[in-house]
Amino acid sequence: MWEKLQDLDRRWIYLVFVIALLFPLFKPLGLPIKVGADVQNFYTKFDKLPAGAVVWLSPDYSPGASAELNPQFEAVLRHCFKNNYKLLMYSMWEQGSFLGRDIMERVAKELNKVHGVDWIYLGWRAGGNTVIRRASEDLWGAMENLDGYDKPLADSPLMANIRRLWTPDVDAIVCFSSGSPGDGDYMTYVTDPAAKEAKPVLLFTGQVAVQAPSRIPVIRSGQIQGMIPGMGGAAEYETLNKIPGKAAGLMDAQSLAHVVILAFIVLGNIAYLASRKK
Amino acid sequence: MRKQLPLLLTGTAALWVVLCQYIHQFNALKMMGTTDQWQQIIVATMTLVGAVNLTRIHGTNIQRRRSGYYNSIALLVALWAYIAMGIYLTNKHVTYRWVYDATCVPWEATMFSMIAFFIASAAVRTFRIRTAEAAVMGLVAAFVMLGNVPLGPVISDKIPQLKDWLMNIPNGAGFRAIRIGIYIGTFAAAMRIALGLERAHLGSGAQ
Amino acid sequence: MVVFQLAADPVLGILYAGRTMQLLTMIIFSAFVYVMIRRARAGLPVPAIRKIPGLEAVDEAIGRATEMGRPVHFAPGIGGITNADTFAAWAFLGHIAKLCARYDTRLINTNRDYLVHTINEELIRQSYLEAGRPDSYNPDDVRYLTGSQFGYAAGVLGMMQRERPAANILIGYFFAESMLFAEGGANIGAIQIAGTTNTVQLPFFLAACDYTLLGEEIYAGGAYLSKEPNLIGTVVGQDWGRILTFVVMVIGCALANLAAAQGTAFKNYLLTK
Repeated sequence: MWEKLQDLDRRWIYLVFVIALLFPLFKPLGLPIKVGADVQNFYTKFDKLPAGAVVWLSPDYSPGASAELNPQFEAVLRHCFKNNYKLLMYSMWEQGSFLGRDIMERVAKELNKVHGVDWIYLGWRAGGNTVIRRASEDLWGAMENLDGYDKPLADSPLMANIRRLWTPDVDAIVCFSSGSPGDGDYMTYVTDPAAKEAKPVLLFTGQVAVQAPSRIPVIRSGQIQGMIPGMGGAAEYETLNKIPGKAAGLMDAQSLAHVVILAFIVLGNIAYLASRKK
Repeated sequence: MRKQLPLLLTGTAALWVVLCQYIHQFNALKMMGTTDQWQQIIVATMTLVGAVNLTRIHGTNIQRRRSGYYNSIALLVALWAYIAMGIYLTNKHVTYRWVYDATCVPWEATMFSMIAFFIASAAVRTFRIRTAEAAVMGLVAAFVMLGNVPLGPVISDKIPQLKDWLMNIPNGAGFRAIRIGIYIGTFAAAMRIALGLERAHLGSGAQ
Repeated sequence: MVVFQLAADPVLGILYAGRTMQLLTMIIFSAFVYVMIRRARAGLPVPAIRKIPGLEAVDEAIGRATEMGRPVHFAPGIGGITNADTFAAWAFLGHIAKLCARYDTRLINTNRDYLVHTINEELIRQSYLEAGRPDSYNPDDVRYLTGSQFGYAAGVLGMMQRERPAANILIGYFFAESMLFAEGGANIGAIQIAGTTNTVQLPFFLAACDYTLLGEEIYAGGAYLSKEPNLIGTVVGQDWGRILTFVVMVIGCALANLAAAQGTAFKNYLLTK
């Protein structure tokens, strides 16, 4: 029996895993969301930007990571609009530009924020990180003088005083990242080189959970101001915003899934030890 | 010449980037912005090269009636129909977006979510407490997993605190060390490429 | 000129202010690498590269696939042609292709980047030619699947199930597909060797593969497998850079601690003693 348990067909694991994920969606456990140090740090620092601050939002991910990063993007977006920050949205990922745009259009409509005045969609341009490097010198040139809807940038009052992705035109960057290009490219080409300016561009990031541990060193060194890790981080941000969103509702499922994995690991080890004693 | 020209171009491009990054006069004249623009154009053109390359590969499959050639037909029809749709309607059109939202989004999300299942089965198979180190690793993993979800603080307030400590101190130190090693390694690799010492990509005989 | 006002005053009238330390580091590291290349070229002794089990295992994996009469699968990651990991992957692929050609073992190479695919085609063809077996080269086994990350992952998983390679070699820059490939390979019982510099994906490879090359070990692969003195020189030069970094870090930590302590305890200690 112990040997059987050790060589358990993985499909059984998958089945239990699916049940654990689906169960709380039908019958929520209602576990309280406790805000962690990472998200609290992000929120506090981000909240301190003055009203009218220019924030560059960069949803650099594809649909695969949207379950984790869409709720983060929406939570930060709502926070920005609440604090009357002016928003520029550009993505280094073509698919990210669509994903971010859909959320941006929906939330802006809901909160009566006007395109070209309160926010602007810059879309996506071919070239990956070379576009942001060029934008750090000449934003209009990098965008070919057009926004993401192919309208001239000159028509947007918001863009009148924004010429570069650099201090003091832009105050902060929030990069939602699931890979490369992402926050590392902003560090290399924009925020780190601008760090010596009197008013540096601050970099914040939202990460898929799997990448979060790797960002600890750059947060501790001050290269990134704060991080929202995974869907759990999004749920915590929603709690701080006091606007319930998708992530908080899905955290019960994640809790149960983690318990299931731990239970299988424990069972596997019991079986291993028992079969060894034999 | 077939090998010298790419090496010469690589070396020149590397030198150009170094000059633009570190020499004030180059930097102040925004000279890198111009080459960045070139790169934008090259990358955009490469997308077309990709489509042509794909057509060539799958066109040959269909022509020679290789096994599963009907999949190649489906691929080419989808590829060029979507390109045509993008050109005709532009990528802002609601139908163009609908096709993308209805196909690519769920496919990608499905594949990404499969990772969770694979992680589960790999974890169950690998986390065997065979040694003292494996026991420590298993315990740390358990605390981090519980600390990352709302269940952790429900069990004990200490779990998220312990998780934060594990992530910030031992994990931070480990990542920092590996990263520094990788950056130095990447630098040496970049030098090999810029100096034309790394030539495997020009054909194995070029080594 | 307005543009000149944008940048801070240059150092020595030439260097870009704020990047001088970067440049200095680059010059020192370049000097290490250059000196080691010179030594290697002049035939002077250069330290040998330590034995890396993952590299040794490449030959063993291909041997096993040959014995079993099953193919070898090689994936170069999804880094593209501008990624240093892809260059490392090419060094491995050249070696693997030659061995496969020599043993007459089928090599399946799957790609996500069309430019990497084109180079791989050429590289593998050349390797078969050099091994004296141009007829064994099968262009159908060098495959471009799709530019989509997860579409590519799905294609590779399907291939693994259908063609059941006995060796699964994953060297390059991998992202989220790493777990899918490694666990997919484990499912079919393939011997697995993986390596990437993406630290986020390394734990997945460590959990699911038989051998994992950690970070910059893959860069040493080309030098290690080819035994080319020039390349070995660069690896040794890189290690000198590492030693220097370590020394700078220790001194930096000591100075930072001294500075932190200066205002309070350390200052008092000095004053009282």
